Amino acid sequence: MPVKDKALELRPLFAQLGLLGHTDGSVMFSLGQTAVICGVYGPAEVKPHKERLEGATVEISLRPPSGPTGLQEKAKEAVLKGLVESSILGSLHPRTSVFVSLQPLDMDGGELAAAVNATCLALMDCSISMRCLFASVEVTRTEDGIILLDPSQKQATKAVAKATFVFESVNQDVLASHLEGRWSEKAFQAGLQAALDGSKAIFQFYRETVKRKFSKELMMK
Amino acid sequence: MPAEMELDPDNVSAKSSPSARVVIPGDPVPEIPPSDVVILGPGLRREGPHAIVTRPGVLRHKPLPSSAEKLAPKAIYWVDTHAKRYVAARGEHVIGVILAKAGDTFRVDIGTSEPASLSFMAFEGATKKNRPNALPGDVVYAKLLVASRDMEPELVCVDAYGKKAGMGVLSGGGFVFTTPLHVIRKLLSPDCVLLKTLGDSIPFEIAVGMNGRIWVRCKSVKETISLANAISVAEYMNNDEIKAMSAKLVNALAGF
Repeated sequence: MPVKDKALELRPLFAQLGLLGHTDGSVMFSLGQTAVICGVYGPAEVKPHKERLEGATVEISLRPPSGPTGLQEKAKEAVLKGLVESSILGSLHPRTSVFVSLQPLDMDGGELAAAVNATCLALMDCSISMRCLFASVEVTRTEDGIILLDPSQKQATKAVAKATFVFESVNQDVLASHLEGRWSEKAFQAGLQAALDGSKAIFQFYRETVKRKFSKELMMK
Repeated sequence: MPAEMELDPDNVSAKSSPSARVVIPGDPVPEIPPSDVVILGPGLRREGPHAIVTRPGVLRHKPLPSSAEKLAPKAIYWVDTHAKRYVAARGEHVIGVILAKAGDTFRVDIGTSEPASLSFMAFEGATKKNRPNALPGDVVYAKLLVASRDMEPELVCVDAYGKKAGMGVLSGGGFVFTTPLHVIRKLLSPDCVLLKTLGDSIPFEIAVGMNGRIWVRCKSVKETISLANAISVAEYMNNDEIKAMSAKLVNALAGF
């Protein structure tokens, strides 16, 4: 499998925590030119008909940068809901709701991955108890089998297949995957490995972001 | 000052330990040997024999005095985290806003996921006939008697002796504002000099709720506002910076 070294690098990552005043946790996250703002409320009041006695109710709202919410957004919301439910310790807060609101600002490839990573950072900023963190990366494959990690929209124009993987931080297991186009087993394994390597950089980025947030605290005492 | 100093593990002066470091959820804590008896505070949980971090923040620990008992815990470990949303904990003092009267109780908003209940009888000197004269919209300083994740939180405005002990309706003007929860913990920590320094020069009354709400009252509105601002900006200051800031504030208020 011809894999170019440079093709396996992530675009620059950026995160600013706590930029929204009214939310319990918030972040502006960008992956190259793809940017998304995420706000989290929780554990907050829950509507009676959505109340669960065994754990927190997770609600996701993802809006497109412009225009009405479509099926694509609904599909992404469903993926995100599953991810949040499986990574937070919802049983610690029964009969409450965890509401995640996402607003993509710029779309330049890897929208789902950016939304997933923003959600994880916002949940951490909110300080909700979590079992593990999660990170997502998009990979694409061109006709001649070249795997591209985290391509921009322009770089992905030649792609014939696209995949987004989500990994968890403890055992590096796959939490979710979303495939488009045809993937042979060999190409799939190469893509999965590239995404796994990319996710490690994202987990390292999470750690640095949190370290920056608490740097003052560490110095003070 | 009617403010009660809370004595929970977060506030007991956490002397810096060389192991204090930033952790993120899912991190193992190798400092805690699986065989040791320790107390795991907020932000940590056991998974099999190992301790795992569940909330991002600074990992802290405090050794406990050794005891003859074999199963006595050796240390407390917890994660100092930044949060804005309050989760009720038993025995903590909070500031709430009365939402409504419901039968023999008040419904009080304390910033948790559901309103707390406060019985008419939980005030000093209250009887079935002599009801407290609190109205919706009033601010109360109260203590959490019941706080369980499966039940509605319950407040009282009396201590174990039936005395008000600084609690009750906060009247006579004053100003309520909210801060993140770690600011409250910092303010109530015995190490923090903020309230002491400000109190040396400005007379004021303050009630600090663990739910992130602070009620403060001075002689004039101007002083009240400056005091509220001083508390809000002290979040990332150390004791020396707080002293400098307080001196500047007192000078400004005196018109220098």
